[in-house]
Amino acid sequence: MTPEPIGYSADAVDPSRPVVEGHEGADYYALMTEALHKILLEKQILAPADTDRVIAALEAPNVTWGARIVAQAWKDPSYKARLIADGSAAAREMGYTIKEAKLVVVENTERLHNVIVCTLCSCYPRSLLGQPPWWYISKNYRARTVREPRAVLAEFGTSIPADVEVRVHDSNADMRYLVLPKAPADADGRAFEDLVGVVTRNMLIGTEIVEPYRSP
Amino acid sequence: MTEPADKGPPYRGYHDIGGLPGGPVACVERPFDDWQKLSEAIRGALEQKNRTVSLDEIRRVFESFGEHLYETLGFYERRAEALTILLTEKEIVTREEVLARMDAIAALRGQRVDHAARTVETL
Amino acid sequence: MPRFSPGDRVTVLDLGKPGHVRIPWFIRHRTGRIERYCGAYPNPEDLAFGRPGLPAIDLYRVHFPQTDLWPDYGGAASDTLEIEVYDHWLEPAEPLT
Repeated sequence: MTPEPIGYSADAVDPSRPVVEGHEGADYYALMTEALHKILLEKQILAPADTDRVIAALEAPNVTWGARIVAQAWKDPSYKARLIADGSAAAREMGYTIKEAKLVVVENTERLHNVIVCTLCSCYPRSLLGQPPWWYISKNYRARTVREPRAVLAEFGTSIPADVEVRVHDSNADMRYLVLPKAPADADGRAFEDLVGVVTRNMLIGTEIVEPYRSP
Repeated sequence: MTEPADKGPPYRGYHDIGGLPGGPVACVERPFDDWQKLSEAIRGALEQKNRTVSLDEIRRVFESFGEHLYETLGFYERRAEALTILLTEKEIVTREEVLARMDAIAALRGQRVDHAARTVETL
Repeated sequence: MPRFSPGDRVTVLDLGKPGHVRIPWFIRHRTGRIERYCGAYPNPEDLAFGRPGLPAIDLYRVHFPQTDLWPDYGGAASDTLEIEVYDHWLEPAEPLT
């Protein structure tokens, strides 16, 4: 089915105009944040321990948590099945509490490659992986990945054959996503910690793959 | 099949950028600076206290504070601006007192703030 | 009881509402199929204004072929996109015959 082109309301800016990435205001907003914090402390709306606690929670999660979940799925098919059925519960089995509504784990296979983006802002499984990389929250990534995912993946050095489906997940509401990369061919013979070391953050987002696909 | 009654061009906010043209995805890392952590932590701490603010409200603010700011400010800067707007809206602070405090802190450091340009310069 | 089940064909409405919505422009008026029911969550359109957003709204993941979203899609014909859509933004579509 050939879709009809969509027109735009008079209020919406021309969607053929490229996105504009700004970087202004760092010093100004650093100062504003300092001023705001001091005011909130003085008004006793916040106590120092309140932001200390949140900062510690922001800093605690890291990519290794996600890598361990993946390595476990690679070693244990029943864990993998539970992970795909309920990502939050399976993460909890490994000791990780997902604070967002739900973790959805999408599995890469011989026939399917998944990649995650949040076009509207920067939704990312922060309670598992920590802060998203800068490029993930950049406007170029947010704009282009839904429309030309293979071109974006190519910029990461990731080539997906034409006979493998590329599926983009726009993380636009309450779910948060983790890509379960395809296990290396020799995964069965490798130790758990060794497999943890294979998994990178970009593989969990879907911009990198563990091994090139075999030619069709 | 009947046409849906609402059929017409879709409304697109300036933040709704999926599918728009863009440049290369710079696969670079940028640090998560201390002030950025503090800004996110202020929002998080207020959220934990009786939901004083919410991430949904922050999003609504940066989706409506104007395309100029959305295009010129960096990501964490947009969130910090949205936080101050939201706290002013809720009458928890006034913008005047925040800007005045910025001026006071800057003066102690031999700096001057240009609120219109959103810059801080060392004198 | 959610209105839709996995596999149901649905069309995304354009409710034309300003304010905070989580439904991007590029899926409005498009028809896809329900991939899964995600649960019920407070309505972000109300949360955005400090209201409780209750009763919670059913949220679904909807599956689209990319060639149905972009007239000039340059990837593979089998490429797809999945995205979350709240119940009130969906209407049933005719099944493919």
